Amino acid sequence: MAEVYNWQLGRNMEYPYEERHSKRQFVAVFNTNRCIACQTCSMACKSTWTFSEGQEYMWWNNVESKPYGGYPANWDSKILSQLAEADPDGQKWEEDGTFNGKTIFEAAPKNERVLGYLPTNSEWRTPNLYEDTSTKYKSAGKIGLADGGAELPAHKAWFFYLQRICNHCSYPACVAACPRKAIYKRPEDGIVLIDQERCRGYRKCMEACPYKKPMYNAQSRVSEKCIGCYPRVEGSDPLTNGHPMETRCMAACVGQIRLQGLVDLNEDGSWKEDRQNPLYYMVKVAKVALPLYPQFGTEPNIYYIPPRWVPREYLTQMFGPGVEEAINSYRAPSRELLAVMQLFRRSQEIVFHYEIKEGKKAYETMVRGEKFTMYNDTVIAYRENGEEIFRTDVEEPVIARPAERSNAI
Amino acid sequence: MSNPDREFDADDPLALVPAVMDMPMDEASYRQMAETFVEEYMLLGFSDEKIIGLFHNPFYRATHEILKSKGESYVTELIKGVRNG
Repeated sequence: MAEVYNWQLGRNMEYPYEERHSKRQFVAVFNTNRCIACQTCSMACKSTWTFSEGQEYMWWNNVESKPYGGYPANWDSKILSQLAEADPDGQKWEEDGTFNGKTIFEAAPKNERVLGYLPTNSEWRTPNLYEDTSTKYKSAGKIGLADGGAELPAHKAWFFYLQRICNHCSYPACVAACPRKAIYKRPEDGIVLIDQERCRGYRKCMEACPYKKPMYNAQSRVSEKCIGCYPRVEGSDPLTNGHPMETRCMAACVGQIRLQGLVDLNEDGSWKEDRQNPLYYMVKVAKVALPLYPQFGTEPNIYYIPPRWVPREYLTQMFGPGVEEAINSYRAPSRELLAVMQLFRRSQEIVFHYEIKEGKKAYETMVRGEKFTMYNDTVIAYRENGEEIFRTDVEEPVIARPAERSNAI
Repeated sequence: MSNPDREFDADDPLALVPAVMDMPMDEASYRQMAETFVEEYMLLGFSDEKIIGLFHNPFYRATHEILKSKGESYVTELIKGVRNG
């Protein structure tokens, strides 16, 4: 195996291929604090890419209720258990942020390139098992609604929604495992694709991907995966008017929790300093968003703002050692972070740069013994060529229903 | 974990199966969750009185659930704690 540098682990690691990087990387930030699990993203993806025969079970985008939900069932706890078994008591982060445990490449069994497993049919069978969705009302009225209002389950314990697509990893496990070199990472944007002509459906990618995002199509007998809506990202989809556009799952997000774009890479794979790129700012400057299970070693490129009501031990296992810093950054947001968060879902176009124009003070309050001041700044989003896409204010109106119509629909 | 009203059908690939997570929750995790609710409204500029109103309003299910299970004095102390740090 070759040695490559994984910045998320803070060290070199083993990988089957020599280190090479794309010019740009497809990156997204998901704010788990805001997701309402409406599954509009899942349906946007499904209705665009996986509505054909053989694709029935494919959810390239899914949203699962953690800690119990998962598609395929228990995907993450299974990989974590496999790693713990391969490296008992060794899967630990050092205080300086270095991961000294084993990645899925380093823990691979003899004659295998990656540690993984092939999910069973029954694990793929229930995309919504244990999800937070009501199947029926106990006493349906004339129009199918419950008498006296809907009764939804009241949760007494913490949970949160985890939004998942392919991570378009910098060191993809699917690429590493494919015996036919049918999977590749595009040099122009880092999107990972399966060549449908070369693929023979051996399913080694399904076995190797720790996020379980490649899926076998029994109709065409080849594997498929999230394609990062590349015609939109390229700006070659007729809808885009030639401007790079975010993916369908991002654009459809009702909760406005997603922002996707492209970051420029140096030859060594590090991110080029690009202070006014909102993704660069959130991941590298504000450090508010973190990769999903970085210890797997694939250097995933979807970043999550962690849910701040969840026990830290659980979050650290899921997002690595930056959890406390990310939560502190989010719970006491800087003036700039507040403005950048307003860029989410104001447009379908990819925002390459932003600028903030300072506005008036909106209000002042005390939170956790410290003064918090809200300014109604204006944030302006720009295309790659410097043209303005939109501008929006930071302060949003708060609209409360009057008490006498609290339950009106 | 409680079972859904409808029996789970293993042959139905699109069955929606709800489950209430009614496991016991440790006090520290409960408090962390409750503090997050309060913090959220404080960042919106809500006064203490307005936030207490959300705990009394049954249509704000999460906050109301806390009031029902922990009582008014817990909520008052909770808000004070988050406000003053």
